[in-house]
Amino acid sequence: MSKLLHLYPRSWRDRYAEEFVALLSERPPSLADRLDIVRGAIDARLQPQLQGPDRLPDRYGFSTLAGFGLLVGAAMIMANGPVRYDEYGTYREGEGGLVFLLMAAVLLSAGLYRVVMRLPAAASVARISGWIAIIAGPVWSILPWVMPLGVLFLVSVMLIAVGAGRAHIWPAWLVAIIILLPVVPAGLMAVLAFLPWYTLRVAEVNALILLAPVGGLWLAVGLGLLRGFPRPAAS
Amino acid sequence: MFLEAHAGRNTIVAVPNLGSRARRPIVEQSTMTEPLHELGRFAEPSLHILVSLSDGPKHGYAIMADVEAISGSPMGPGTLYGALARLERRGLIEALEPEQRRRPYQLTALGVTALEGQLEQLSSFARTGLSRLRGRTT
Repeated sequence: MSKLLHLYPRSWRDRYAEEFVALLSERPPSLADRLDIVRGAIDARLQPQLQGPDRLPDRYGFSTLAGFGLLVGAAMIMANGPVRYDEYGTYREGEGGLVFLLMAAVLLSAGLYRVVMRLPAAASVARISGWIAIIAGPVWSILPWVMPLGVLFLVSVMLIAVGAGRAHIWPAWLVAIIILLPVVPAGLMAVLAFLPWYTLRVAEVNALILLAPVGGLWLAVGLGLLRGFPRPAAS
Repeated sequence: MFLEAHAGRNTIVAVPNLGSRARRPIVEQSTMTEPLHELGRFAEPSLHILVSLSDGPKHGYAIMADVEAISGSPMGPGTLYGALARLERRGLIEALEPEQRRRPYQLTALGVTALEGQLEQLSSFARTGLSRLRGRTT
């Protein structure tokens, strides 16, 4: 039975688990009861406001997650664009995906804005980084080949995550994921650059190595928003 | 727009001025009963729980047994706690201090008002249906 209880969110268990177990000890659950418990756990997961009084979920998380869908759409359009041959080499023309990329970046910026607004005034570095990321993200999506913009954006997002972690808005594991998502592929690219058989001229491979994990930022920020912000203390 | 007071209810609703033939209230339900209407599949279990608590505080197992006796159908533990969480969140019930590991719940003043409104609505609905059945020409 304890396994079924673990289907419920932790905050729900903190509030109801003890009396729930007491109830089940008085009335051993039938198969129908077990199915009802599973259904109740799904309901508790889908209705975060029932999980407990400690956090307020932010529905902007859904739009940030939708941004991930747009990002995937942009990647698919770019990967299937017409092949070009010019002085820069051979590559696929990806302009068709830029609109989707811009929309995805705007949705991520909206999500980051929600986080920045919850950062305490003392977290000035994270707040300034937040505004930089909110602007740099959409600009980078229009000019994705300007890598310094991308570095500025990614570093800014990492600083927001650190600030949110220090302010107890996001847990350490979420902060770690947001930091590792760009750092790991960037490190991988740096290592690959020294391998004699690898060439950085393979633009699609570079894009895949860097952008696939970076796309996880949309998921991480979206889930962070849906996880909610600490409820302000009653005055 | 007209403001229309409904007899027997403490609600004033806004009515669009569409002429006398088309003049109907937009909102008919009392605001006190809204918390139950918006509970979706938990609306009926919630009403059963409120009725169960109407004669005094009860803990989870006692509510389940009482609801089964009142309604004739069992209520699963997942449904019970899904409804309890919603009712508590809306301030219709409140948890009391635990007795050993069992925590009793009781109606709040808002819960009493909401339950009264809901039962009056159901009673009116039942009366209308019965009177129409009796007046039916066969």
